[in-house]
Amino acid sequence: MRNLWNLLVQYHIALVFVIFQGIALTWFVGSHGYPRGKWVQRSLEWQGEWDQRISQWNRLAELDDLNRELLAENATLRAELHSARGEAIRSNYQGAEVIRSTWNGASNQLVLNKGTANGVKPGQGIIQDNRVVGRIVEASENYALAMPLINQSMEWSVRIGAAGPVARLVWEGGDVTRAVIYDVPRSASFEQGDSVLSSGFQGYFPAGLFIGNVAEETPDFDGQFLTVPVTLAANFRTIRYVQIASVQGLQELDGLTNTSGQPSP
Amino acid sequence: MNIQLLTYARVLIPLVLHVLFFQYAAFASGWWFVGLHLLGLLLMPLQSSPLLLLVVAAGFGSIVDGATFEGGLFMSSAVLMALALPAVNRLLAPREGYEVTDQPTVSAMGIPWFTIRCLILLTIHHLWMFGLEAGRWDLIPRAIGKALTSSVLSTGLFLFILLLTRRQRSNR
Repeated sequence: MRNLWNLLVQYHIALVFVIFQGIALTWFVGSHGYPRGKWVQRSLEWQGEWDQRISQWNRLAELDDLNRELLAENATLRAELHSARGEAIRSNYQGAEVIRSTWNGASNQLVLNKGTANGVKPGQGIIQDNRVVGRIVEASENYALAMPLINQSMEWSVRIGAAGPVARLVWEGGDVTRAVIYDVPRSASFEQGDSVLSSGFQGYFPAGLFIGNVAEETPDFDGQFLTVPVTLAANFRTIRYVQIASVQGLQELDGLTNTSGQPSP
Repeated sequence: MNIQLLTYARVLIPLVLHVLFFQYAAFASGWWFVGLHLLGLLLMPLQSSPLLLLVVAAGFGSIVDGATFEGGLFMSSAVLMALALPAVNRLLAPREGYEVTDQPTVSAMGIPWFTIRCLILLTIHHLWMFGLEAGRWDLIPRAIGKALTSSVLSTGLFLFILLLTRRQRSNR
């Protein structure tokens, strides 16, 4: 027993290092790219308040009010437009301001100044000028944490062209204007410059929202599927005002597919 | 100002500034990350025990992680840097060893000593941090590039900050 104690005393630095690294790496693996839970909510609330203050110091009050009014008006008009088009799944939008954004890491984030008090909840999509930006992953009372398209841990269901194949879009890191679409059937017909749109299958956004264009490079072919490079439409470096999409009837759809024994989309 | 109070201030002020104002201070498309809290760790007294360094580094890292939702990334990197700190201090020690009154600042130890120490420790920190963050082997070369660029530029910045705020000229 004494030998064990001596050993622990002799190597206590290494032991403490291993313990701290264990805690840090467990924390990292468990939360990286998709932080959830109470501590995130508390941190989000505190950080959100602070960021809001910093943001307030830096802006002109009149222009800001005007922007907010335009944002709300835009959101209402967009909802009416979707309704007038008679789309199968209706969506509502509400304006929000990005009070913090990162775009130069592997696990980029956005913090919005709307939270559960405004009806925001995880799973809602975020768009900017009809372009897909990302989705909410956590919300506190007044703020929401979102993962943008440029986050390596996220996958997005997209369609190439209005009636093209549905596949998954992934951001591979590095360039914030580029992403790739995996698992495109080789029989799919598309051209460089074709629009890449949301499929609507994930329920975050309505179908048909603009994500980007098929890039000029030749797609890779692995023998079965094509990997198609995409130029993203949203400008993540300058993003500030966005709309949070709320897809109506999603719970009803989920319930329907679950009772019929099919997996939820 | 009381010497002990000054030491605490030197260690804590960079952390507070980092958390409140410079959390996402990254320039040149992410190729220059400024971890101001690391300046606090670098300014921990030379006589600090390795255990204290590890505990402070873990505390600093976890505070920054909590503020930036990075979940352990900064804690892990800071702890690694703290482990290397005593060894680097020994490596760069003057022939007669450190004096009790020596502080790890530019004014006390001179520009070459601070620059080399800062560069080595920041490189260790940044290589681990960017490597972990990359998460994929094909992004490792880019992570190494970012780590080296950030280390060199941050060393320059820290040097500049300490030269601006130094109290007396070096006599070593």
